[in-house]
Amino acid sequence: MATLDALLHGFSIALTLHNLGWALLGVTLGTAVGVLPGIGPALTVSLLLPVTFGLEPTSAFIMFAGIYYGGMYGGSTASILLNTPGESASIITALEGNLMARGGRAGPALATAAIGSFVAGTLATVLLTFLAPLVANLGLRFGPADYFALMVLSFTTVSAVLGRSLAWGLASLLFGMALGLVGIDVQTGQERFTLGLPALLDGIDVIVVVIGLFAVGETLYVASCPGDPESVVPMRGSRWMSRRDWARSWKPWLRGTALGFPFGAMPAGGGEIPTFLSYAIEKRLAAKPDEFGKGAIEGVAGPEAANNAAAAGVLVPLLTLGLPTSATAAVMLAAFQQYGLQPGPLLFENSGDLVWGLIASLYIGNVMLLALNLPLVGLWVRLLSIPRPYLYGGILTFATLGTYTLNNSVADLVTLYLVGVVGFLMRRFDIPVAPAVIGLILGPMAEQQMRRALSISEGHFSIFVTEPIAATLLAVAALVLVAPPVWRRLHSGQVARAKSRQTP
Amino acid sequence: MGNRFLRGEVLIAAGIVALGVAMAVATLAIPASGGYERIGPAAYPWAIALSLVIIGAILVREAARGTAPAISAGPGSDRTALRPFGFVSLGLILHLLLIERAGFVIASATLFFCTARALGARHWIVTAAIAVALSIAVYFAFSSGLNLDLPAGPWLGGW
Repeated sequence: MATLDALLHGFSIALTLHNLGWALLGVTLGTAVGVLPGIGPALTVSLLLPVTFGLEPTSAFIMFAGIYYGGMYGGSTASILLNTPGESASIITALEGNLMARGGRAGPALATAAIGSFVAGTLATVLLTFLAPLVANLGLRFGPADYFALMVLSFTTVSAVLGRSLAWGLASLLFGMALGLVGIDVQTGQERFTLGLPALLDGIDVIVVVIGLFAVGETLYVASCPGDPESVVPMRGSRWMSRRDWARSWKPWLRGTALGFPFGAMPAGGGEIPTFLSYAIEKRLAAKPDEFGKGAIEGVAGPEAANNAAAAGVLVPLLTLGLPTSATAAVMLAAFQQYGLQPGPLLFENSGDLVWGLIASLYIGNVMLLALNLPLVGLWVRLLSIPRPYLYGGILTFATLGTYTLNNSVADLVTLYLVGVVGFLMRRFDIPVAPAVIGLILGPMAEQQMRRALSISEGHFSIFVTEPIAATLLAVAALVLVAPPVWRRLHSGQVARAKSRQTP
Repeated sequence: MGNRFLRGEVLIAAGIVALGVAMAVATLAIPASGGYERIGPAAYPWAIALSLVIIGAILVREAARGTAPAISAGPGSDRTALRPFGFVSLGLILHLLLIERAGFVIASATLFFCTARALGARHWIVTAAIAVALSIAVYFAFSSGLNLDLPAGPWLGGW
């Protein structure tokens, strides 16, 4: 088995004392930052990016993987104890887990989330290990037209899935794509939308935009629209899961994994859909469905497993096709590019050490996180009670530090502030942020692939219809856009007809 | 919610149309010559500018008619307080003006102080002390510990 050999080789890299140290530092920092209220995994990864700059790529990505998984674990602790989901995929955990905590069952809620994350993360990493080489092989056969179609599919699903309506999702996506156009056109050297400013020639950095949208936007929002701050639920009762808790948790963990991984691996917007689906399924299958909405352990175990399995699933298209399908994956892609690496089918051939070291460190990171989260949860709880003025003061200190150290440029700080104001407006008016991030990083790549495809076909757009893979993907993308409104119209037509029949 | 919220939404949708129009105008300056692919560096920007105008127009119509799906506002209140918004902005602008002139520690401490004040920190002296202590700690952790190049400023120049 070539895959097993490669994985063993990966372990031989990840298990050196040196790299174990970086992995441990990564999971610790990831948990510590992820646990802070309102900070989701995308922002955790962006804020901690400068910490990895001084390392050589393999160690940097091993640490990075730890930060990614650590951010997910930390996020669930914050959701359960403080009801502050840092991303849409933890909303369910926050909902049901916080109710459990208020009912004096914070310990079992945290434990089922941590163990469920471990089970789901490990199983999903196994799936990733064996699926990734297959997809990478498939990716080798993709031409520019196919890649373009894949990206279009990604655009439409991300816009349709996230946020309150397709139109706002598309507006967010287009805003990101517009920002992505700024700079020098790679193929012709033509300047576009630089406003004559030399600082804009290199384009707008994805990391700066993510930090601006999430950190600065969030701080402006929290400062100017103060609601009632949620209070940390004190830990009462048993810290551990009872035999009954175990019996009620293990099936939701496995079902959550089965839902989360495929949704993460498809271009469908990451963890949001599978967590909601998992909640709905657990509610239907539960022995006492009326406990849902009052703090049912299944409602934490299932969605939390789905969320972590999706996080591993997202790495499949990211590593094998270079296709980010969540905001966090977009940041990871930007980090790869920072090191001059382009994820895609060739990454497995050219940088085998790095890829397999990273995958192996995902297994190791999961074990470390289980050990770190179960006994040490009291330590993380203390981080939750940092007073909010100091918390946000600290967040902006690290946000500006991270931005400045990217290129040592003050211009990036100007961009950070301006994007932060946009992020504030998006938060205020409930416009989804993730499509903008995906559009920013994927937009320029889609343009390159489209133009490459057109130069192969000598300018004939028919290439997107005659290539079977591209045509299929584009058809699915069109379906994602057209089907829901049409279905809704048909459905409401039926309802109207039914009503008119009732009232003669 | 009420009218103020609705008006804000119309304004944002109109802003999306305006962004599309501005992009279209800027795209006029990009030469459209293409190579083998027959479309040049202007084609893709045109597509995005046009899409922005169309989507923006749809959103303006939805928002003006009030048919847009309801905003699920976060935990925050309906009113936007301008003073704290201004304080955070002031902190960020001072930071970017100060970082290369006065160094990382002073710029960061100023930013921390302004942000903490905006979020309701009451004790001036305690907040200032935390701001300075954190900035110095971060400076040394990142510049000596992680070999990052942070501007020292005139005070820490000798370190």
